[in-house]
Amino acid sequence: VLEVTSDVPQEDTEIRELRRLLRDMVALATTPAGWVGHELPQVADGVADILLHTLRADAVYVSLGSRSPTEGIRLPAHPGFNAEVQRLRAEYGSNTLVLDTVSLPNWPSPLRVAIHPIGLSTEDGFVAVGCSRPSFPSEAESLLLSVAANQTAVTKQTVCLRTKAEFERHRIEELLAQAPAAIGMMTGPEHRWVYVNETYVHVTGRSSASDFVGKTLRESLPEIQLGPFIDLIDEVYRSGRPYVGREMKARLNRGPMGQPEEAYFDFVYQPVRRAEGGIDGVLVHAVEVTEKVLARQKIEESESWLRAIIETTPECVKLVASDGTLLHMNSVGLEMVGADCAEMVVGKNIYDVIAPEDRQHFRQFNERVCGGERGSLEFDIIGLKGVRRHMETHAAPLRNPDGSTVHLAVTRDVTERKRSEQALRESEQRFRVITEASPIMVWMAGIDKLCYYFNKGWLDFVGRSLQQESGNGWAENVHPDDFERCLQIYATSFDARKPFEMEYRLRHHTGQYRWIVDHGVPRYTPDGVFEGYVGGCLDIHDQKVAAEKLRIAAEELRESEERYRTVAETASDAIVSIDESSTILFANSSTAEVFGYAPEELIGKNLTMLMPDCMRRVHEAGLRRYVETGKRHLNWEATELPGLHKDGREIPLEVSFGEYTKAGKHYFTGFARDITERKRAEAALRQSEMEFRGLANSMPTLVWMANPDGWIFWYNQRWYEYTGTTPEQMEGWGWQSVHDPAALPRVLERWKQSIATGEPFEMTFPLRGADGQFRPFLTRVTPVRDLQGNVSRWFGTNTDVSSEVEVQKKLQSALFASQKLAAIVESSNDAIVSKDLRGIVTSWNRAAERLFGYSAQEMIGRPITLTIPPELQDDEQTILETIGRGATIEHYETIRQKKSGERIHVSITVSPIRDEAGKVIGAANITRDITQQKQAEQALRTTERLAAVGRLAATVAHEINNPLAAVTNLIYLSKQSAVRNDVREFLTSAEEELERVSHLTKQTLGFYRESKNPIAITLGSVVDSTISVFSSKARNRGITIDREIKQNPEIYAVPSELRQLVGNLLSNSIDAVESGGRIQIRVSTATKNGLFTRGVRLTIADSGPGIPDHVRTRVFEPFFTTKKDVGTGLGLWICKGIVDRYCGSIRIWSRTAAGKSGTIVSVVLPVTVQEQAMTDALKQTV
Amino acid sequence: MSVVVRKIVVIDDEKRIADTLALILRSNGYMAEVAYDGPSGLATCSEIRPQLVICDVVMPGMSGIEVAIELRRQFPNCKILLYSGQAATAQMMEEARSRGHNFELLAKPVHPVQLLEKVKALIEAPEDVARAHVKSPH
Repeated sequence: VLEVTSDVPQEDTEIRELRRLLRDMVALATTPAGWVGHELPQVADGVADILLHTLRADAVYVSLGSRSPTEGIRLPAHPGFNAEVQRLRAEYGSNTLVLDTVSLPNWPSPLRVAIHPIGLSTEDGFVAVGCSRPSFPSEAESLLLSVAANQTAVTKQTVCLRTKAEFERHRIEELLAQAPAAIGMMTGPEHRWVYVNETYVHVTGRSSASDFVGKTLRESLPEIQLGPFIDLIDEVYRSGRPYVGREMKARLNRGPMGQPEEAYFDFVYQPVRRAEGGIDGVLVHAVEVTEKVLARQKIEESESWLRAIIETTPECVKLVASDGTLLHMNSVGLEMVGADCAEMVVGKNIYDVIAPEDRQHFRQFNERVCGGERGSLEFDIIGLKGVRRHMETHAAPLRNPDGSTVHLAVTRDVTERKRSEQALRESEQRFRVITEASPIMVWMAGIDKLCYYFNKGWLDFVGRSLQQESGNGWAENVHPDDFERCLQIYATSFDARKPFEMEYRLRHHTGQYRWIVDHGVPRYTPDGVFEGYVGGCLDIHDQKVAAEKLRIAAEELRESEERYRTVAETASDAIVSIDESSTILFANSSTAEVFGYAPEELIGKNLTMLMPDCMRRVHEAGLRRYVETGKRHLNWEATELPGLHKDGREIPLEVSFGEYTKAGKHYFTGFARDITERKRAEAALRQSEMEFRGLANSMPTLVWMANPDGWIFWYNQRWYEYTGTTPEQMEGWGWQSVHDPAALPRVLERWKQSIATGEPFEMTFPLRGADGQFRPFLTRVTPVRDLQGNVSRWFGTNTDVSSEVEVQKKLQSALFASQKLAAIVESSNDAIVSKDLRGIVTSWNRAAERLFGYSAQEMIGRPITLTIPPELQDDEQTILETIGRGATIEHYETIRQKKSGERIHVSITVSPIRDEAGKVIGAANITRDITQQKQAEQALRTTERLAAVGRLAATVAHEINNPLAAVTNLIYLSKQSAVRNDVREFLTSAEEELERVSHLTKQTLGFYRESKNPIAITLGSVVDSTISVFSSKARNRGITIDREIKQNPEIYAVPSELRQLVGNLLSNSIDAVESGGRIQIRVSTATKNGLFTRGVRLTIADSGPGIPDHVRTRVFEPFFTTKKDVGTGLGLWICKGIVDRYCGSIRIWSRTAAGKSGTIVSVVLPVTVQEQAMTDALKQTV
Repeated sequence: MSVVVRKIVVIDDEKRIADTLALILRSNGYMAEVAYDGPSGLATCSEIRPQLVICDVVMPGMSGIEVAIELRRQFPNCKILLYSGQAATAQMMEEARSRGHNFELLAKPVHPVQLLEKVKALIEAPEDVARAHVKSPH
């Protein structure tokens, strides 16, 4: 605050006034709040007012800002003052302090004028004061003026700034209000709203800003407390670090009914700082992006869905740009092109993997698709790993959001299909060529038995077209005598899908019926579907005719030879006799047929005329040598020699010779037979054999032929196909290479044996196919013998018998199953025994050994009645009779006897055993030990009986309680009003007796009214109440019960269980002790006992006879009792169960020595501090 | 000066027990009223506002425990003593306890001397006496 002092003597009051005003002014100007809300004209007015009063001036003119004088204000001193001030300012300069005297019109005296510029700028205005006092301004007044000017400048600046700030603030608020973002500002740690814009109100579903301003965040938007927002804002407020959240989910109660809606926002929480730097509040800037997020989620969802489809499709899915760049490819596609990862191909040019020859096509195709067409294309690719594949693609254009079109393709690897198509075509081609070229006549029939194909050989043979032959057309050419038979064979075999072979006559195109042999086999697709039949026919007419002729010729020859001996003349052989000079002496008429010469043409001629040139010299030399030496140069019996026919051709002859001697001269006779036909037949046979081989090659069976020594010289085609071998590999003994090495030695052994003996060979052994698989083949080899009976050739067939071997395997597994059954019987828990119809045991399993105590060795061969008690021996007869009738006895409950004599309850099932014919030959006994079950049933009945008695007792006791209560009350009342002493005494006695009855009923009920929850209880109290229950029983038997409670800690336990525990133990002791005996019961604390640190021990010692060792080991078993009829055998078992539940222990010591005998039972139970712990422990063990 | 009147309501379906008990209580200076079933017992209570209710547990219709729960709701200051001779009582008490209602139970028969001691202990607790002064209409 400015202190103004002046040496000029003034009235004290004036000075005081001046000071006060000055202070006002300074205060006015320097207190920022002072001018808040004021306009500049008001400021000027205010300053003018102060100066007018302070200086007692005639006029004051305050102008704020010379440029716009409207901002200034004139005070009402004198009308001409303003104009004078302007003139003076113009004269002196607007930025100068002016002191001058002016004369104003209509003003009595000259006027002193002082003008002070405001601030440093000429623009800021001035303060002008006019006063009639000649001494104006005094020093103090000058000072005050300058202060006023300065303060006004400051004030003006402040007001301007404030106005500007107001404006700015207003402008910002306008902006915020219109901003599309939700904006709000909160102050303080509670986040109290000071501002929210309309968008904020709108997105939160509220109605106006007043729902926020002045309230805290929690109050205004309670629903966002579910999200992280308040924590985040707290954190921003605390740390001063802004928080930027993207797409955060908020639930806002902004639905039409105020129900929550999910919304997403991009947030900025910006800390707002005070001037001094502390955090003042938090600015919220939120932009709702719900629609964007939802739209994106939807897109993502559908995208991931599509992606999943694309990824899981078994075909290549790819996207290709128009320039061939691969944009996407699924994993199947990557595998097809041999890429280990997408990066190896995606983004690269797809053309690179297209096979060069298809690249151009693919490029054009791609461009077409990218141009908007759909289409399919087949092409080859060469993958990154160099594998060529044939692909089939189906493509469609796909428009990208950016307007470009890409090629979407689903591509399938059709390499395999192509390959098989190719293979099929090739094999078909081959087949066609072969069949067309083959002399074999081939036909094929569909599954309708109608023929649809005949090869050229067939068509040439019949001289008809395929059309004529198709269907049943071929039948027209079958010889009518053969037709029915053939049709029968064909139809029957066809229906049975069996190969067939038939011979019939087929009309040749020349009109002649020729014999053909027709082999038909069923045809299957590779996957086993029946397709029809294929057949091959051979023209066997010639050989058939030849064979027929030969047969006739041979027959005739035999006959003629027979005849010759009697009538040479009638012989068909030519007979010629010669002398030593070879001159023909005799010729029979057959020479005309054989040689073409009539006998008369031959007689007197040389025999050599009937020989070809080459033979003549040999004959002459041979004859001469024979005549001279007697040595024959050739075999005289049936020698084949060439002869010369009259027409000049050589003829094969079979010649035999004979001689006779007359007068020292040798005469020879030759018998010559023309064997042309025979030769021809032989040739035909050879031909036929070749044809047979052709046929054999088309057979599905493996066929081969071997020399007598086993050297295989021929296999059919099927052999090579099946084994995948070549003739070179197989020749001779090469076949061993397709045998299983394991089986081979035996095959060789057998085969060599057959070769040695000439016996047929039959064996099944595996042969390896071309696929590497061994399949079993039934192999039959038969010898072909010559006339002498020697083996001339082996003829072998191998037939695939895989399916039959399967059957055998099944049989074997059935055998295995029966072995398994035997094992089950052996391991069964039930005694399983078989016996014959006399009751003699034939089998005895392990369980039977266990059950009866007899070993199998002891029992087999002995009667089963050994296991039956004497009084039940008749049973077995009944059983055997029942079984003999074929009936079964089920679950027959009876008693059997062990080897030890012990009797057991058993349940027996007996079933008959039958032989294959169904005749009953014995019985199977299944015996189960049900002793335990019987005992359990017995015990259950006892327990139930006891329980029923107990329930009855309880009910009765309850019924007694109410009358007791009434009687007790009545006696009490009577006693009070009784006057006579003796009556009072009677009543007292009655009360005492009543007391006894009440005690009794309460004790009886003790066992029944307990809860099942553990409570704090002492073992001592249980011991006491138990003793009181048993005291009369003990008293009756003269037994003393001593009780000692040393320590008696509380434990948590179910009282009824403790009572049962103590009761059972005490009851056992009382039963054990004889009259006059003692029982000591003690309760004390127990030290550390394994599971727990503190425990309470109950010891019950009796002076009974003690428990023998063999019994002691079994006392805790259920149903074990030594008390025969009174005990259930469950007492100690239940005790042990209870003790175990409390994690305690129970032990028994016993001595049986006479005089020192006795038993001590010790039970230790844990002292658990917490009830809950024990409750939990009990729950766990329940 | 107001007189301290200790009022007791006895509820028992066994008429003889209820009547004799009331007699005994009256002869010992209490004002005793009798009811033979739960609902009429409750009615009597709302009429005379007793300091103590002695109630049998096993009764046809409304059980003593139901009566006690209702009493505690309507007259929180009223003491309740249940007594019973039935085994089923233990289970009923346990159920009530599991629902948060804990009551004192005496087993029938109880000797009148013991009962009177119990009644005295319950009813003459100092604060109850004070309350009885204030609330007494006499």
